[in-house]
Order: sequence, then structure tokens, then C-alpha cells
Amino acid sequence: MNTFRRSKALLAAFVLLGFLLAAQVQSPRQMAAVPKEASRERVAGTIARLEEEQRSLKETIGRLREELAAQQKLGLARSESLREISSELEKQRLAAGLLPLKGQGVTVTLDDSSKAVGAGGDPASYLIHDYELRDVINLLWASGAEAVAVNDERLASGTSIYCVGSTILVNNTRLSPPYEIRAIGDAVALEDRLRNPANLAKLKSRARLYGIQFRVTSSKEVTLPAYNSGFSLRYSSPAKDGR
Amino acid sequence: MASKERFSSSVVLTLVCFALGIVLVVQFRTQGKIATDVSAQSSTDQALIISSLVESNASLRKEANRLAGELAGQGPIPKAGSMEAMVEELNKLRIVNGLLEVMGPGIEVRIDGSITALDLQDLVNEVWNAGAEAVAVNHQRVVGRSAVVEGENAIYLDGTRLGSLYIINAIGHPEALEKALSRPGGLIALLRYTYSGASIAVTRLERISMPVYRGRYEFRYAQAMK
Repeated sequence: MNTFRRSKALLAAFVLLGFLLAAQVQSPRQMAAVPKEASRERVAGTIARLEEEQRSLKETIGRLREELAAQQKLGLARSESLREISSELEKQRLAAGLLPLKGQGVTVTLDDSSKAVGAGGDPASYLIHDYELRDVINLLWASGAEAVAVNDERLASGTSIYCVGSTILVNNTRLSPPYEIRAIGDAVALEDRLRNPANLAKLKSRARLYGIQFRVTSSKEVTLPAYNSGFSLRYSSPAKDGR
Repeated sequence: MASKERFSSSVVLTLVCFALGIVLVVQFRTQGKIATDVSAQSSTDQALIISSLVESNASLRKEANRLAGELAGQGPIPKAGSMEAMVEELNKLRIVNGLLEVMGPGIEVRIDGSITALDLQDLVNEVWNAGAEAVAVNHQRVVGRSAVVEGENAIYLDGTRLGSLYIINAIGHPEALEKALSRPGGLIALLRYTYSGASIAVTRLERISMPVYRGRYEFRYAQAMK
């Protein structure tokens, strides 16, 4: 009875010992599956490097996106103001006479007389003078003309009409008669004002007396060249900053 | 015999228990070691981490390259310089058109007395001809399309009545302007002769400022040809 119990305890101890030994023998095999110290460190280093690369790539992407957005915003703003400036520039060019124009209007033709100078007469009475051109042009502007040209010279700011001897210069360019003054505007209104006896009275009487030519025709389409001289601004500056 | 047998089996039991104790300790240690080393990263896990990082970095690099390309290929952004040139041209034309207040050196022609619209017209023409860059009459800007008209007992400049004191200002080279106007046989001499009762003076000024043209540039009948 006693012996039987003792050998039972002994048996149990042996069995447990056997299990544990078997387990102990298995453990080093599991250990072998884990990489050795050196290679484990290498792998950890690789992971750290990849993570660092990932971080820097994300930073780069963030920076690029910001830059791109800023560029697009700037580009948009620039092209918007560019559009604004170009359209404003086009308006100013139109106002300054830098664009050739067409539209309804009138043509006033002035020419020296073909009559012979009468005995004791003044030859100047038979010629068209610079001030007569100015007077007709002034009347055209006062009557609502939008643009005016004499022969091939468009009138612009700073244009002067003067004579040297018997030659008339417009934009410092010599013109020869006949002088064809063309104006774009309300053709009917312009013609009425030109024909009104109260206007250009002296010129009209000279036309009757000396045969000076003064003809007015209105038409549906008058064409004017662009002003082709420059605007020199060496002494002027804006009193206030632009815009 | 019985006691000897009991003694020997006790010894065996003791030895077995001793061995059992050692094996248990060793086994616990080994298990502990395995647990910490393998921890989160079994070699398979590490391989997964690496491969996902490599994959993610490749796609991040691709995105970064795409963005850099887009940035480089950003359409032609108008250069600030070309815009400055345009603004300069714009301001120049605004001065020419009388749409900007302007200042500069020049001259003043002061006529105290009545003259005709034609003479004032001629005087303005003469000032332009002398090289004026900007002109004003009685502080009213004169432009290419300005008209001087004889009205009832007064001269009208672009529809505004002028009194009988005429102050014509011109911006430009003061000396050149003055010389051109005051030359013997010139317009000022002619006006002084014609209006002997009027006082006519030409003065150089270091600084003149002029307001903007009051009229408007309207084009209802004219069309640009292109």
C-alpha cells in the first residue's frame, strides 16, 4: 500500500519531468526562428530609415501643395490684373487716337481757289489757311465728333495745325491741298452744324467771294487712320499715384 | 530491507524533484526570453512593416514628383515686369488723355482782357506746337478733342464759361515754351498788338499742377478697325 503510493508519486514526477524536458528541448528551436541580434538591428535600422523617408516625403508634399496653391493664386491674380490692365490700356489707346476707326460721319473738303487773283487782290484770300482748318476741326469737336483726321493725319492730344509759308503742317507732317477733314460721329448732327450759316461764316463768305472750296458730305462709313506719332512726356508726372 | 527500499525511493523522489525544479526554472527563463524578443515584431511582422513602408514611400514619391512637375509646368504666369511696363504705358496715355492729374514745370500765359474764341483757340494750338505736354485754361484741362467756342458775351471751353481773365498753363520745357510764344512776330506779339488794352504776360513756372479733363471719351459711332 505504502510502496504503491510512493511509486505513484514517483511516476507522476517522472512524467512531469519528461514534459518539461521536452518543452525545454523545443524552446531553443523557437529561439532559432527569431533573427540573430545583428540582423535584427539591421532590420530595425531599415524600418527607421524608411519611416524617416516617409516623414520627409510627406513634408515635401505638404510644401509643394502650399507652393502650388500660392502660385495658382498669384497666377490668377496676375492674369486678372493683366486682363484689367489690357482692357484699360485698350480704352486709353482708343481715346488717344491710337486705333484706326470707322463709322458714320462727315467729310469736309477744303481747297485753294482755282480762280485767278483779281487785279489788286490779295493772293492770301485765295488760299486755305491753317486757322481755317483749326476752325472747322474745333467746330467738329464742339458738335460731338468722336474722332477727326486731316488727310492721313489723325488728330490727337498735342496735335497742332500751323503753317510755314503756304504749307500747312499737322503732327509736324506737311499736307498738301485739297484738305480732307474726316470726322466720325452723328452724321446728320455734324452736317447740320457745318451747314448752319452761323458757323464758319468767314470761310463760307470767302468761298463765295474768292472761289475757295468748301464741301461737306456725310456718309455711312468714314475711315480714319491711327495717330502714328509719339507722345513725349519728359516733364509731366502724375500728381497722384496712378489709378 | 523494507526501510532500505523506502530510503532509496525517497532519494530518487528527491532527485527527481530537484531535477524538476531546475528544468522548471530553465523553462521559465527561456519562455520569458522568447516573449520579449519576439514581442511585437516577429520576422514576418517586420517584413510586413518594411514592405508597406516601401510601398507607401513609392506612392508618396510619385505624388511629390507629380506636384513638382505641376509646379514647374504652371502655365505662363504673367511677369511682374511686363505688367509694370503696361501700367507705365497706361499712365502715360492717361496723362495724354487728360485723365490723370499731372504736374511739372512749364509756363503761364496770363491775359487780362477780352479776346475772341478764335484767338484763344490759336493760343492753345500755339502752346501745343511749342511742345507742351499738358495744357489747362483757367485750371480746366485741355485735350485733343477740346473745343473753344464763342458764346454769348463769353468764351466756352468744352461747354464751361470762361471769365475775361484767361490763364493758360502748359507743362513742358519752360524756356522752350516761353521762347516759342514770345518770339518777335509770334502769337503773343500779335495778341499784344491786337488787344492793346489787355495785359498779357508770359511767366516760367517751376511747378504747375493740372486737374483731370472734365469731359468724357464716348465712342458711339466709331468702331476700331482690326
